[in-house]
This record gives sequence, C-alpha cells and structure tokens, in this order.
Amino acid sequence: MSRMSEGPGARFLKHAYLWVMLALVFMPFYVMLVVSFKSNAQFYNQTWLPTWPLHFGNWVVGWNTVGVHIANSVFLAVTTTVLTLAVAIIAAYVFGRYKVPLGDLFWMALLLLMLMPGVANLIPLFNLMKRLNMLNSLIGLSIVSAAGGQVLCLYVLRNFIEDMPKEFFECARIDGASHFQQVMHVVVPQCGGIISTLAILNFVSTWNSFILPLITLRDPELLPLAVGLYHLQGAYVKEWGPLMAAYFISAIPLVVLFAFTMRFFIRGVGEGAIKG
Amino acid sequence: MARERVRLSQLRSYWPLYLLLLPTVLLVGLFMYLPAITGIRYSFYLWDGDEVSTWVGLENYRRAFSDPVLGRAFIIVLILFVADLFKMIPSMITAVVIHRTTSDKMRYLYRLLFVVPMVVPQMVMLLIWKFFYNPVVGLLNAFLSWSRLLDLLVAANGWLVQLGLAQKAIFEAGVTPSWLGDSDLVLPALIFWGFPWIGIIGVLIYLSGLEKIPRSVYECAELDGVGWFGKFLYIELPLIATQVRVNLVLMIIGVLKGYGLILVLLGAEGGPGGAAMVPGLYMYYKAFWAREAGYACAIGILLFFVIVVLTWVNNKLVQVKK
Amino acid sequence: MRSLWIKLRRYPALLLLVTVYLASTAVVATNILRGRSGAPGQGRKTILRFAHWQLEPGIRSAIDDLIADYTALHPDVEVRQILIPEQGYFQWVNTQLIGRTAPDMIEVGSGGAVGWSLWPKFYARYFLPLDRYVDEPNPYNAGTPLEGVPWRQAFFDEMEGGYSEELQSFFRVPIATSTVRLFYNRDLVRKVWDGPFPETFEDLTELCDRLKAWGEEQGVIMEPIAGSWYNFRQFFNTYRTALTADYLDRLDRDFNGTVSRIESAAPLYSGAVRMDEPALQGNFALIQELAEYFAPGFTALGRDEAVFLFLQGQSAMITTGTWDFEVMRVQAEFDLAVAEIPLPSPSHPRYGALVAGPTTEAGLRGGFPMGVIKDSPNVETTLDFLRFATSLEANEKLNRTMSWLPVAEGARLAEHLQPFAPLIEGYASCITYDAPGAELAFEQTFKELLGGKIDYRAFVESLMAAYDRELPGGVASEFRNGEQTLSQQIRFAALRRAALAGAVGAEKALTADSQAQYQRIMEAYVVQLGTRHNDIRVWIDSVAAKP
Repeated sequence: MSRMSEGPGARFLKHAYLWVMLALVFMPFYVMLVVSFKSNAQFYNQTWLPTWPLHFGNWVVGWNTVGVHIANSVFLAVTTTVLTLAVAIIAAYVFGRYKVPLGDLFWMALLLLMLMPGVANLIPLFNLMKRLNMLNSLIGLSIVSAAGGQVLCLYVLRNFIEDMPKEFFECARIDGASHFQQVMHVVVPQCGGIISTLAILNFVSTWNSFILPLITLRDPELLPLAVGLYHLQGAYVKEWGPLMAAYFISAIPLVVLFAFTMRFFIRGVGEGAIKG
Repeated sequence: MARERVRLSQLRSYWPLYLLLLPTVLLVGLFMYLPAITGIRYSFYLWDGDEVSTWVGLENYRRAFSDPVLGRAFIIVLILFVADLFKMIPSMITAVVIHRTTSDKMRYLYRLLFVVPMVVPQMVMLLIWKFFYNPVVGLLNAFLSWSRLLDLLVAANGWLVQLGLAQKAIFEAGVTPSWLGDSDLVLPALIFWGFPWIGIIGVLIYLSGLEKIPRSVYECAELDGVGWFGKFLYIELPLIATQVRVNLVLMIIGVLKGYGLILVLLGAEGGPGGAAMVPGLYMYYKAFWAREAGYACAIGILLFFVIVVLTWVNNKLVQVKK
Repeated sequence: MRSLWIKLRRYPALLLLVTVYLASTAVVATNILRGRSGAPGQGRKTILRFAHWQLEPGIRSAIDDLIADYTALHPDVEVRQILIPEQGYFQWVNTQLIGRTAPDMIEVGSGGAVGWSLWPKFYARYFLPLDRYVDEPNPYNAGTPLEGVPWRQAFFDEMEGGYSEELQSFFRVPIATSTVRLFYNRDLVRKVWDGPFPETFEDLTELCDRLKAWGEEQGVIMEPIAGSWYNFRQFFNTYRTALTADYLDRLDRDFNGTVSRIESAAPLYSGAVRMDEPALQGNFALIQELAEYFAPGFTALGRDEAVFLFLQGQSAMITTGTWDFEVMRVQAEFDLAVAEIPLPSPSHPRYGALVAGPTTEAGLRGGFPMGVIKDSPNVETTLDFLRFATSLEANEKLNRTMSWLPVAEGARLAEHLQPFAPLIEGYASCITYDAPGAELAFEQTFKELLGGKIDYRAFVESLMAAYDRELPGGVASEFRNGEQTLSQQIRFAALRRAALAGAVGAEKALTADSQAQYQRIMEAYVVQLGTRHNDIRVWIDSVAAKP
C-alpha cells in the first residue's frame, strides 16, 4: 500500500517506534544471554555488559539440569497432542457430518464445558487421579490433558467438517470406505491446515502446563519443563549464570518448532481470528 | 454441508459412529464432568482432601461470603483485570504501526521479529521477571538507580506525602525498593510485569483483522482529507475494538481463574501479608496448604458462578453493540 | 513400514520431531524403570526415597556420600534424594501425602504458620510412630563406645528433637543440628581492624564505623552487616535475651527456670512490667543502634539475598547458622571466619549494667528431622538406613562433610566447626515481645521503629494498643490448644496404663507397650499440667491487676 502523501518524518517515527518496541521485547533474551556466561562475582560487578572470561561451563551445567525436563516435556507434549487430536478428529467427524440420536445432547454438554472455567475441577481431579492410580505418571497426565484439550479442538474441527462439501464423503462411501477410513482419507488431508494449527496450539499449551504437573508428579526426574524450572530457581543462593543458561536452553525447542511451522501459525491465527 | 440425519431405525448400520464418539465422551465425562460434579458435592463437606469428611451443608458458602480475604481477592482481580485492559494498548498501537508500514518486506520482517519472543515458554518469562524484580541483583532496580528514576520516584512520593495525598513514603532515599517483598509494591509489580506488554498473539490477531480492511476505505478517507490520526480513530480503532470485545470473555475468564503468575512470583501465600492473594490462588492455598479442600471447592464453585455471570453480561453487551 | 518412512522423508521437520520424540520417550522410559527397581543390569533393588528441602550443593553431596557408604554395606538397596525447594515444599508434601505417593523418608517441618498446626495432624495420620524402636540398641554402633546403648540414648539430646509433644510419641529421627553464629569476611575486616574480632558490642560498632568510612573512602558500597529480616532476628534474639535475662526472678512464677510466653506477655499487658524500664528501653535502643549498620530497607530482603551480598563483599558480616556454612565456604572467595555475637561489656556506659550474659544453648535439640511414612513398602529398610545415619561414625562423617553439628552422643565436631559448639553456660530467653495474638502487630510496628518512621514512644503506644486488642483472644486460643493437647496426652497415658494393667481391647490402640514409655508420658503430662495451671493463674492475675 503506497501513499504519496507520507513524509519521511512519519516513516522514521514509525520505524523508530517499532525498533524501540523490539528492543524492549528482546531485552530479556539479551539479559539471559549475557548473564549466562558470567560467574556470580562478574554478575555482581557488571550486570549489563558481557565480561571476560566467558564461562562456557555454565551452559554445560545448565544443560545437565534442564535436559531431562526438556525430554519430559517433549514426550508429554507430543503424546498429549497426538492423543487429543486423534480423539477429537473422529468425534468431530461424527458431529460435523451426522445428526445422531443423542448427538446433539452430547454436543450441548460439550459446549457447556467451554463455559466451565475448570477452576473448581482441580481438587476433585486430583482425587480422581489418585483413585485411578494415575498420579506420578506422565502418561496419566497426558490422558487428563487430552481430555482438557477436547473442547476447543472439537469446536473448531466440527465447524470445518460441516463446511466441507458432501461430495468428498460421498465419493469415499461409494468406494466402500468405512467411517474410520473416511476420516483418515477425507477429513485428515482436507483439514490438514487447521489440524496443524490445532496441533501447534495444543503442543504449546502442554509445553507451558504448570499447575497440574506441579501437584501430581513426585519424582524430580519426571518433571516437565515449567515445573523443573520453577524448582531450579527455588534454590537458595543461586548461581545466576547456569540458571540463565538453563532458561535460554529451555527456550530453544519452541523456537525450532516455530521456525518449521511459521506459516501455519501466522495463517492459522488469522483464520482463528475470523472464527473467533 | 447439511448434516446427514441418522434415524433410530438406521442405527443398526450406523452404530460404528458411536464407537467414534466413545473416546471423547469417556475422556470428557470422566476427567472434566465427574470432577466438576464431585467438586460440587465436596463443597458441602468439611473435607481435608484425603478422607476426613463431615457434612456441613452451606457452611462453606456462608464462610466464603463473610471471608474478608476472599472479598479482597476479588477486588485485586478486578484491579488486575482493569490493568490488563490498559495493557492491551501497546499491542494495538504496534499492530497499527506495522500495518501502516509502507514496504511489504519490512512488514513481513516485523511480523517475524515480533513473533519470536512469544515462543519463549511462559515459565521462563515469569522467572526472568522474577529475576528483574530481585531487589539486590535485579535489573529493574539497577536501571532505576542508574537512570535516576528512583530519585524521581522518591521525590514524587515525598511530595505526595506532604500534600497529604499519600499516607507514607513507599519510596525512600537510599532504600532499594523490594518489588516482591513489600506489600505496597506487590500490586504495581504485578501490573508492570511483561513490560512493554506487547502480547504477541494480540499483535498478530489485530494485524490480520486490519489487513482485511479494503484499500478503498483508505482511499475514500484520503479523498475526504482525513489525517492519519483520523484514519486511526474511524477506521482502525473500531475494528480492533470489535475484536477486543469478542476476546473479552476469554480475558475475563483468564484473569479470574489465573493464579500461576502469582504462585511463581510470590508463592502460595500471596506475597507479603497476602497482598496479592487472588481467588484462584486462595483456592489452591486452602486445598493444598491449609488442607481445607471442602472450602476450596466452595470457592471454586463461587468463582465459576462469577465467571458465568460476567460472561452472560458480556454477551449481552456485545449483542447490543452489534 | 517402508511407505511410512518414505512419506516421512518428505517432511524433514516431521522426521526431526519423530526422532526427538523417540529419544525423549527413551529417556522417560528409562527414568520410570529406574525409579521402580534401580539401574538396570544389577538385579532388582529396593529403592528408598529421601526427601528434603536443603538444596545447597554441600548438603546434597554429603548425603550422597552417606548413601554410598550405606550401599557398600547393603548392595541391594538404592537410596535416592528428592530435593524440593523450600518455597513449594509444604504443598508438595501435602499432595504426596494425600496422593499416597509419599517417599519413604521426609524431612519434617516448613510450611509457615499453617504448617505448625498441621504437622502434628500429619504425624498422627501418615507417619510411623517410633516408640517401638527407640529403646533398642543401634546395631551400627557396634564397636564404638555407644555399643548396646538404646537408640534413644545414643543422641546428644536423647532424641528429644524427635519427640512430638502433641502426640507424646517419637515421630522424627534428627540427623543433624545447628547453632547460630556471626560469620565475617576476615579479609575485609583486616583492612580496618587489627587484632582479634571484636568481643564487645562497643568494639563491634567501632568496627562497623570504620568499615563504613573505608567504604566511602574507596567509593564502594559497604553495608557492614548483611541484612534481611531473618538474619536480623538472630541478632535481636541474642541481645534480647542478654538484656532481659534478669527478669527471670520477677516473671518465673512457677519456678521452673523458664519464662513461658504467657508469663512474659501477662505482666506487659497488666503494666507490672513497663516498656520504659531501663532494660527494655535499652534493648530496643541497642538494636536500633545496630540496625544503622544494616542496609536501609533490609526488613524486606530475603535470606538468600543477604547471603549473596555478603558473598560479593558488599557486607563484612552476617549472622546465620551452620546450615549456611557449606554454601558460603564453597562460594566465598575470601577468608571466611566465625565469631560469637558480641555483647556489650560491663563497662559500656549505656548498656553495661543491663547485660546479664550470653544465651545458653543447652536446650539445643536435634534438627534436620526425618519422618518415616507409615505406608511405605520398605519400613524396615528405611529405619535401618536412619539407624545407620545416626550411628556414631556415619553421623560424624556426614556432619563433617555437610558442616552441620552431629547428633550422635559423643561425636566429635569437625575442625572448622569448633566455633559452633553449643554454649552451655548462659541465660535462657526471658521476655519475648510477640505475645500470643499480637505477633503480626509486633512485627509490623517493630519494622517501623527500625525504619526510623516512628520513635520509641510511638512504638510502645502502638505495641500496647495491639496487646490490649489482641491478647485476650490470643491467650484464649493458646489455652484452647493446650487443652486439646493435654486431653490427648492423658488419653494416651490412660491407654498405656490400661494395657500395662492387662485390660482387654486396650492393646489395639497402642503404639508401644513399655513401662518406660508410660513413665515418660506421665512425667511430661504432670509438667505440662503444672505449666498450664501456672499460665492460667498468671494471666488471671494480670487481667485483674490491669488498671
């Protein structure tokens, strides 16, 4: 969009504002990076600028402390996402394609859930998990998180499936596909975009999950990232260098994820904005 | 596509559909509905989270209504919510500015750059800010004293005390403010966190909305001689405002039930003197510290009702405006 | 399978994800399996878990050494430490206890005000009463002077640190203990002070002045004493005892040698003891003088921040206990030394006449208490491990490495910890200003006094107003709690008496069946009863005497 009436002053202001904002937004990263190479003494004397010698050892310590938590988080996030989507897609197929007896009742019940803030759930949920022996287990956590992620995925997926032309399904049915095969060969390829977006959203949300893992997991070696970091910074008289290195390392996996899925996300958010 | 109707008589051939529905219904029913129902049941008991439980009827609710800590917690949540509304402004401005950038390449670059920080896990952001707020090694205090802003605050504070507007000196000369340790500073610290408040998701959503504005509208405006500020006021702002209104419900729910931020920054007791206790945290504290799980469930149910009411009110407002 | 591989290859990102996921699953699976039965390849092991909040590296490695020694004796047992930061410790314990996933051994304590009232309930419900075991000798003491001695007597405090008053049973095994001293940076101190570290308060203030002047000269920040509310209270306790110990005669109405909280609060409430008496006024004047040498705003700082500043050389002194010794020793890049908190000498113009003497540490009890979970699948092994940890040699070695004080009777203190040896001769705490119900008010108004916002008269007014307002309710609460404890105690005693007398059905409710136990309970009960009656009498008298 070009505008002839815009002066160089205005353009400078716009760019200046954006770069100032960017500087402020990136500042925590800069700080993390700089401090991660310092020893406590260097840090005390000079907080802002890098100091030599650089303590690369901090990064080794950081990795040792945080590495296992990253592995746990990857396991948890991927398992949960796969489970959530698998269950949601097949259900959304039914909701979006058919009007089954009792189907609308189920759907209303699900919508009601969207309203429920889930705040009152925590304690009884903990109790339930205890009775089902699901405590102190990443898989148990996965299943419960999958239950929580159902509502959003179902809502979005059902809308998409409803919007699909019937012909796709008819063709497959004529070819003798069972319901499940219809899901696999029609729904999944067609809705690939939105499924990817939902997958990413789910992944990020599980990656950030904090409260439920905090109260259900006992063993420190099973803790996912958020809880692991929380415990790490609870240490008394911390060594700030390795801590910052650990924070930085924790940020890397999601950066990698986004590097690969950038276009999905930006596009997907836009579409979500219309729907929302 | 209109959904295909399946009649009861056709069920014999269509029964696999229920099989497809089963996992969802099981998961949701077992892990979301069942806890909710048991939560309601337990709120009528004096329960310590484990075994001991005695029926007390509405006692927990009566207690909740006369609990000053809970009342105060709701007020704090209200303050935080209002602050969150204001914190949306930088995102909006940034989205508009990016939108108004002339070069497409630069626009894409900015979009890219602004997305990257969102990628940081939220816990890391919280902990970095906890580090910033550290009174001794934290960067906020270092920055304030280096830039002499601290002296400004001290002077302003003293001046307010003299005018009789403030009761005491919160900022004093020579004293490093303890943002998370001083009950007067805790709320400002909670409001200030996340500076410059550019919620990356917010920026992207506003941007996509803005990009749908047809160019013709802009050209009309220019023909009418509307300046850049006018364009903002009449074209861009209303669009953003509609998006904000739509997202308002989610925001309300989020602020009302959220407490992870406070748990991490200040601990389960809500900071010094419970200065930042919010309802969600109070529920957590009562359940997992004080072992009053029945009361905690009651608080949770109350919170649920508050959210439902607010959502209903918000929906009414949105419809009216439309 | 092959077609899957071909399909995957088209999406390198997906391939990366799958690889990372498989790697993570491997890590998780290994951890889970290891958690169930030990590292693979060495046969099935019994896994014991030892949970505590002492995160400091020195402590962790010392306990690792202890575990290694134990494993050398018992190769089929593996002990793992679970470290939870103190901030979230109580909540973690809570969820583990409810969820029945609690580790076998848990360090007991922490939890703030709420914790105080809840831990006894936890003991009753989830923890193993140890009475049955405390009278048996510790097999790991064979070959030492403690051979054949009942486990209980092999502790320097006869395991009092593990005894729960409320439940009249042993529930905790203390494995270390600590005392509080003043740590100082010898390098910094030597810059301005020759000779030994100050042994009088005058010299201490002189040193602080010199340090401050030196700091200004050099243009560096120098706050002589590293301050946080926590560290400050150590100073305050010492000086408070020193200056008010002479009140013992006036306040100890039941002549049991100690002043209870109510015996201290009641006279202040009724006006029999006034805050403007020289000793009390002197107490606060002294502590205000000392507070000058702390960084302004120190009341809002936390423990770890104060230690950090001390380690970076911004302060030259700090008061804390042996629990911080290792942390500081490892991280300090200067000569770390220890001294006692100096009291004003008798010749001090202002306070000299008021000082009674140092605080006694004869009442020191075992710390780092470990509780054993009743439902643990490995109760016997757990107890065995704890016996090992409290045996003479192992305990000595553990505390030498950890830099705490050993709990085994007759264990020798590590060389560098000699200054921490408990001082037996001294006075017990007398007047405590935070009376029941008025604790918060006292703290708030005390902080204002220290911050210079109010003067002493305003402080006294505010404190007395808080007393008038809160004390009746607080004291009533204390009495109610005491009532509950007493009735529980007499119930336990009656049960044991009944069992000893052979009553049918009494056996089931008991946890131990020895005459010694019964005697213990009755003695404690009589003492408690006496204290309680005295407290009530004192309180009633003071209410009557109040103008």
